[in-house]
Amino acid sequence: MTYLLPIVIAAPFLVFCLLGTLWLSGVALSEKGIVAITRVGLLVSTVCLLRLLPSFFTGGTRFHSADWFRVGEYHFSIELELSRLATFPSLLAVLLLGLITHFSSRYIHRDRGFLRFFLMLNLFASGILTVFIGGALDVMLVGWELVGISSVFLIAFFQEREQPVAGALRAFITYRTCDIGLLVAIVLLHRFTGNASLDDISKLTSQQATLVACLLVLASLGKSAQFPFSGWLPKAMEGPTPSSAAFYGALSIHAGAFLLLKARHLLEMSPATCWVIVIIGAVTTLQATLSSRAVADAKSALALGAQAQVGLIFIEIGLGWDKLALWHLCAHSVLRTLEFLRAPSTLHAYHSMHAAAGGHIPATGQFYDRFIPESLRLKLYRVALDHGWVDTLLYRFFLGPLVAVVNIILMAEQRMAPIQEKGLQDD
Amino acid sequence: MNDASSAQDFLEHALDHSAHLLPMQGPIGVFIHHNTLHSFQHLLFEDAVIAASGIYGTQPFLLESDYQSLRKVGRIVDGDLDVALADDACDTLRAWFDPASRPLTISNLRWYADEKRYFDLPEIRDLYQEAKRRLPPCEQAPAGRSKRLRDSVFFVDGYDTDAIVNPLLIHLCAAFTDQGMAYWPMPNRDEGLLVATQILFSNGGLINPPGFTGLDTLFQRIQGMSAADVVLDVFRQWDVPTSAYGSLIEPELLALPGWAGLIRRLEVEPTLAPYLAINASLMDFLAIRLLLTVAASGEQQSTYANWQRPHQEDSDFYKRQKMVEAGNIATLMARLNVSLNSPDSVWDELITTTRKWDDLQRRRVLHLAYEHRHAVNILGPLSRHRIDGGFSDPDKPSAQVFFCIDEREESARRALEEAAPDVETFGAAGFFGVAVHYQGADDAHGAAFCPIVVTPQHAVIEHPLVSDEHIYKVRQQRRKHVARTALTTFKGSRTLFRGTLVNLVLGLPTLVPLVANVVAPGTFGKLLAKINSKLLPSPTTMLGSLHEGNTYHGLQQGFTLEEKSDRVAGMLNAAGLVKDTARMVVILGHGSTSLNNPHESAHDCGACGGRRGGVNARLFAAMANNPDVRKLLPARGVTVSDDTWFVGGYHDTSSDEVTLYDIAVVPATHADDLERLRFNLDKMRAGNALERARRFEAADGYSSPDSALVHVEDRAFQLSEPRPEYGHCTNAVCIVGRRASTRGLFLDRRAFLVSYDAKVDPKVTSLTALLGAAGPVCAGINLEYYFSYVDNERYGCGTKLPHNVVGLVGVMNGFRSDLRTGLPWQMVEIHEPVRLLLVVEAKPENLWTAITNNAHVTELVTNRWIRVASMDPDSGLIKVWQDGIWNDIEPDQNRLPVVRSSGDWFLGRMDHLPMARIEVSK
Repeated sequence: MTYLLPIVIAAPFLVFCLLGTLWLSGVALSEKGIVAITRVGLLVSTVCLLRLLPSFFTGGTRFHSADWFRVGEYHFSIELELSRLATFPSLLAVLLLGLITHFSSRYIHRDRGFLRFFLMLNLFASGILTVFIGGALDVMLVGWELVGISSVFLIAFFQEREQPVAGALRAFITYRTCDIGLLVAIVLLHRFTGNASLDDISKLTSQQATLVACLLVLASLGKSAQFPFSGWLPKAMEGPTPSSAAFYGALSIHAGAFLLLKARHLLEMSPATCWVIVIIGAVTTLQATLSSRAVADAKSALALGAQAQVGLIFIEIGLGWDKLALWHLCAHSVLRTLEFLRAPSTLHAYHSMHAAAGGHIPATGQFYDRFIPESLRLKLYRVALDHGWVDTLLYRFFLGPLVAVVNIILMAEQRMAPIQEKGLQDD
Repeated sequence: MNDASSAQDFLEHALDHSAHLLPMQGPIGVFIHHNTLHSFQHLLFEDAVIAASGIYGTQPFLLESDYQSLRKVGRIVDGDLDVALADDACDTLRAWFDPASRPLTISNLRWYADEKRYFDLPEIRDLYQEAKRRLPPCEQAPAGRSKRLRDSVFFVDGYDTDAIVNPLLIHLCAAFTDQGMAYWPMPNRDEGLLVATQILFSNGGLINPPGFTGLDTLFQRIQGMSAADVVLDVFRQWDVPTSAYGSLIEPELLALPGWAGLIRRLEVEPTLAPYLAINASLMDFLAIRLLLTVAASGEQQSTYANWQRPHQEDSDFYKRQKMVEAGNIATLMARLNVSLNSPDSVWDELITTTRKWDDLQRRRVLHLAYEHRHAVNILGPLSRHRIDGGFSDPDKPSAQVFFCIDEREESARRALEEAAPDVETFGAAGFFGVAVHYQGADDAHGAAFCPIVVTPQHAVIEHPLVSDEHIYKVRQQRRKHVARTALTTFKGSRTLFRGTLVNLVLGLPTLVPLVANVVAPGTFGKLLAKINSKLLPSPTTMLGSLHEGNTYHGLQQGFTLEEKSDRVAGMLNAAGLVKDTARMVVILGHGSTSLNNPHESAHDCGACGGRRGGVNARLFAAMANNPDVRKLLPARGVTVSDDTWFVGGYHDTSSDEVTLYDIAVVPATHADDLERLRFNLDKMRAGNALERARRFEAADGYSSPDSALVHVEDRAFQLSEPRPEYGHCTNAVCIVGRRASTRGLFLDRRAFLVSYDAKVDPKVTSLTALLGAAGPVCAGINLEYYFSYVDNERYGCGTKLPHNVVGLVGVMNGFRSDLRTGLPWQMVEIHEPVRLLLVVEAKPENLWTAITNNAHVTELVTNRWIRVASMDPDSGLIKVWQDGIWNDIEPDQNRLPVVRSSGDWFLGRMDHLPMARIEVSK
């Protein structure tokens, strides 16, 4: 039965390849065809996962490929594992992706980017499932990157406008920066233990464990939009509504938290890292809650709400409450998906609520206000307006100086080797 | 002192002037169609769209390539082009309109010059050189817009201050105009945007957002200053001459037209704010915009005069422009076999002609040709229909049904007449002459149910019957509970503590509504409705009657007997129903319900101020059934038979549901009539649904009326459906006249139908009133569709898919964009952008009297914002008005195609369909 595990990942990936090949070879696929193929892929994954479900009670399923290559003592094989931890998130993922597919078949109907959307959705499906059932970090890295790249392309779905592309670039830079953590962690684990498995870590010293754990934390911050890498999330609300739901409500946003859950053994060896996670989670939660209070648009509010909940999940992980964190993660992804999909009906919902309440909706934000002096309230509001200062701090203390240094180098270079500016001449 | 106040006057004047250019759309919850270029209506249509395209950077017409592909498919024929060119038509020009004569454009110039070596081709080379030699140098100054600080900074330093200013300004505007979405309302917003922002930013001790410097000091300095003073202060710093105020304010406002426009609307009409009053002022907006620009530009400011210096790029552009022009002239000459050695006069003429017929002028003419073909395709068959004869209204109708004039009801009327040939239908503006401020039993506040230009003088409140008072109380109590729960989840799921609780407890159970909503929207929606009606019992209600002396918000409560009779008689008179009323007269208002659609209100009844017209229909029926009113009607020229009973109803154009009101009080004598009526209305719903479904790709395979009905019902409930209905899309014609002249004609849901009988209106008073109400409403709808289609990204609001509801006042594209006004692509995608063709069944002279009786309609007609034709009531001959002349239109030579039913004509076809005659309506 273990052979079913690679099929789970391969099915949507093959659909991606098929759709991509057909596109490149100029075959015009009907919308119905695209959706049908996507459904088949997800259905295959779902059936495989369901067949493997009984192993949940027997401790999970593991899959080892034959060695891919050998170098002396060292050998590399692909490992997949449907652990007890991964079972429910994976099932939830295929369920939500199925719903998003169904939803999008109507929502994206007649849009020029219909094929592009489903292409990316399949790539994402394959990626997120790889993250969930990857048996070692190196396999997970592949999924991790697929999730990242599909996310970036869907933020920039409306590529003819500037904002989506800028938002996508921002997400891309954030992802790549944080991916360094995962990449270095993998290299170090290979060096320390000979493979990238997160279970096979008894050989690590506690310093080594802390180092690797911290790198994994860095990796998790980008995807899960945790402080200080949270500025990109509201700016990512540029894609079509269902992709925002799938990525930033349901699945991608939880990938970081899931990575940390998977690294539980490692975290146990490094209490300090756990505290770091708690602190980051707490800061993110506060920042997100604070900024969400001043936003008046539906999607930013949802994005910041999601960010705050994921911050709490980080706290739970840091404190070692894994079961709660997993429950929280699954529950949150379902609720937030529904909320994202319903975001365009905000007006309708508010209107009926307003009428039902008899025309009087109690003002919000009065609860804490009583305890806060006015000048502080104003300051808090301004911080909230400035999105909790994430970007401001980033620019002031990191990007600003970086740009200044680069400029100095540039100027020095120009002085040493001046480049002739070529004017705009024609003919 | 005197100087300062005159500068301020100047400033206010300049601001008012520029403000006219801003979009007129108010908060999106009540969407009223209007002419997007309303402020250009004093100009001729073609001049106006071209002028506007210069100001907004928009497309005035379709692209030339669009028209050229329409020529390829025969939608525009060469004859149309000749008609549009009129006296200018000649062979040179015809060749010039062929895109093959103009292969070069600015963007493909390099390709042609370097790769194709086009200018070296033997047949082109010499002609090109000569043309280039003869072409006068381009002297056109760069487009007359004055440059802003942003342009100057952008040119010198390559960074865009708008990219820094806009996100913050948008956030401020969103927070300021928010109607209840943000958890924290903006502090001090009652004081206005400027003061609120000033207090916020001058509070001290905080970091500047990225890109800004010195915000704190800037805002501290302006403490206590009025917005106008702030603007003048900044202008003085920049050395802006008073005369340039206007030309500087205009582009500053147009940098974020949506938000500036909303603030202007709320300033001019504060009651438009749906839930919370906003102390809006455009001057505040401008002041903040300028201050933020100052803070974002740092030390790069220099002065106004410096920004206006021409940039070097311009001359380069003209050089290329000239190469393109010469290349195209050479091509044209080669095609026309004009020799190189032609006399100067030939060269001069060629150059003048090609220069005159530039891109815009060609598109203008192609557009006229496009509209000409449309007019021919409508008017020819229309008068042929009369010649072919055979259709008339039933002599003894079993029922008479009034619909709104809305073109979406055209198919409903036809479906009803096909289902029941003994039913007569009428069209009247959907408020049915009853302008009212209405508050329903379930409503928190009242609202005006009438065209936007009318201010209601009367209020009507819906009450539960005394016997049902207890049910009403239970209902209201439970609704409050529901609202409280909804509020907790709606806002609560985003806050920290409640949100966590909601997530942990309700998270996984939401799988049920999530799956149900996505997979079986219709079934789930109906289930919810059923649960709702079980949970919330509905009391029987009545409409409040006259309370003399009792006012509601300063309005008289209820109508006096005289007023009621006036309204009933007025509406029936105008529609030409002055005698022989049937046993049942139904008044059907309309509206539209859809989920997940911020533009929901745009599908509602425009004549009811963007609301649902069931209320007006119900009210009208109640008035007309009043025995005392009936007694007063004959004196007003209307005789209603004693056995006539009026029933008000509501047609949902999205789900095609029909609700009839106050059925309980229908007399027992009319029970059979009512049952028959309901049966026919059900057939109408299904027939209408089938015809609508033909346009929906997702509905292919729905070939039976009942399955189509299920399909359109699903659409209304579907969260994932960006096109619950196509709304007014494809509207193109408005026919004012007797139904007899259009009955049995397949008009493809593209014609507004206004009932009018010239015979009972010798003094054209009814016609004047009808045109005064229907003309601007239909023109507004038609023109909004025109503009949202020809430039969907700028006049319209682009695709719906990334839309993000903000502040309950509008939609943005994703994160912090300008407020998007106009119509989304999904609403207009199958539209044909032609100006409304108004056909009136009245003698030309009478029609002209009616038009000139109303200044607004006169302006629309004489400035060509609508096209007008008169149909002789006796002979059926059609004349088209063109700049003061009535031109005859020939009826079609051949008989119109005849089909048994509408379905036979449209099933399996998705495109716009020509007219046909429907046998069964006879």
